[in-house]
Amino acid sequence: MQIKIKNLSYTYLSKTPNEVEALHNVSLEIPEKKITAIIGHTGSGKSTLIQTLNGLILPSNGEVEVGEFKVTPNKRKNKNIKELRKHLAIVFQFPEYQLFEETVEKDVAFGLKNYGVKEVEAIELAHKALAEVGIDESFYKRSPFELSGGEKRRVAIAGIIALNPDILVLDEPTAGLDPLGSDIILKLIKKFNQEGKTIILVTHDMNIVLNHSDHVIVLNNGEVSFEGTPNSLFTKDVSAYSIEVPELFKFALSLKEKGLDIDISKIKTIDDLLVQLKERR
Amino acid sequence: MKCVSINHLTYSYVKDKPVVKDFSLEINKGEYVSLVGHNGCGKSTLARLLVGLLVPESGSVEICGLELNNKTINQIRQKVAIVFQNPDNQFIGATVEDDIAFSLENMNVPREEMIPLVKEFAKKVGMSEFLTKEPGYLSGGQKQRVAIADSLVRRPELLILDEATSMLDPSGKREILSLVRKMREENPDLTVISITHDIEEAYLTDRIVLMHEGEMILSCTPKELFNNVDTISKYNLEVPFEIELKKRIADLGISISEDDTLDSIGEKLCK
Repeated sequence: MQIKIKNLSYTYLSKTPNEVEALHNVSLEIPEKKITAIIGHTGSGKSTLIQTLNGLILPSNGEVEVGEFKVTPNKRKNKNIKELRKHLAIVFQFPEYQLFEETVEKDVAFGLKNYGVKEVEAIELAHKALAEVGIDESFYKRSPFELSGGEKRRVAIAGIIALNPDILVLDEPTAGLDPLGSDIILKLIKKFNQEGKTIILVTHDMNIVLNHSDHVIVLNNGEVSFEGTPNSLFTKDVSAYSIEVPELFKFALSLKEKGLDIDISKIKTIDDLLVQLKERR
Repeated sequence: MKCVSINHLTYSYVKDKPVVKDFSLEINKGEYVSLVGHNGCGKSTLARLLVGLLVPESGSVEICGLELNNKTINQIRQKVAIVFQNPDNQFIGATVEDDIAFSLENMNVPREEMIPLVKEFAKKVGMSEFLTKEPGYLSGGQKQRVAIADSLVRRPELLILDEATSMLDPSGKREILSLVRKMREENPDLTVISITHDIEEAYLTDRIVLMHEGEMILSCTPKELFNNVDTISKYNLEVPFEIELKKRIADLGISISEDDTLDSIGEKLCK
């Protein structure tokens, strides 16, 4: 499912003295079956943008096209929004705060039941989704509140995955997790992508952008200020966007400046750098 | 001089499943210590035990020479401040100045003294222009700066940061870390314990304490920890980029010493 955003604007508290324009005339295409990172500092419009994708927020102007679905300023024109939300699902920041059921399996099945799936089948699909995120049977009957932070987050993601969306949007999926927990979540995201899902990640972690994304969109004051590959972004002067270039990338750039022949576009991990260094020795 | 001594501290939420196990640690006055370990290893529980939000099952805590108990708790809380992870959960006042004043109100500071103090500390954390702003207009980093002002205005001897930067964006993170650095320069006696997953932050502190399943595994300088390959792999720790790079470059057969910087490594590679 292709996402096309056309001239999208959104104003909070419109027509009041406190109105704030969060998005201004944004036009974008988000590539299908790729991992796209949306970055930008706090208040740049990232959260507003992702919420318009499945109509949680309706545009003030412009429109969003997701496959055959449309999100426009006019509520009556937006047919099948509920159906759209099944295809494009959002995992919000700290999703574990939204867990509420008595048991892990019931929590994961909740979304499905809202879509009219019968209890028995919903629980079955919940078990499948939990297996996808690496949560085994021993957890099914436990209270979600007694799990660790990383486990809770995986359960919350399972609740979304159970709906089997084509497009998965994740807002800061690794915030607050320890390195091991983050690694598990990132591997899951990669797996979902390999299974054919389009992934949209909102993140502040530039290492994730460099290592895990195919495409980057930078938002600044509600406008798109960059679109392209992570490597081309970090080669640019990014000081204006309050982005921290990953240490690895900075180091590779400094080697290039010192005259070493390094192909910057191929560097995503420290291994990539070492391969090139070895070749040149 | 000791600021904190923790002696054989044990605590469990569920009977017989201690989250903090026979934990002992001493921290000197003016030290900047980072407490690292996986989610659920007991770091935050330990922080809550230090400020008396939880009562230990056994063992004791001494802060600035006072043993923490019912009689001393109020005295100790005046010496200790804690900043939590979520910037939205610790903003109490309607505006920035109200929020800072709230701390002082709790200490019965008269209004005449309060007004200049609020201004002074708002300035210290770079929030002077926002005195009358409501929290809804502030970024996460700005709210955490206010939380730090709330803490520091009480002139604590110990500041505990419980993942205070983990919900912030990179510039918010930088703001808070440079603020902590500035506060320590102004007051070298200020002891700071920072609970963090950010390995680059931990790398810059005086000492790292590694916790695992409620126990203290080791306490050493960041360099010692990150050069200890066995511990790193055993506890699945992340390694700061500089250390990882040095190791990998050394594997190429280039001699690398402890004093090498990223720049000098670059020079060596270009030769």
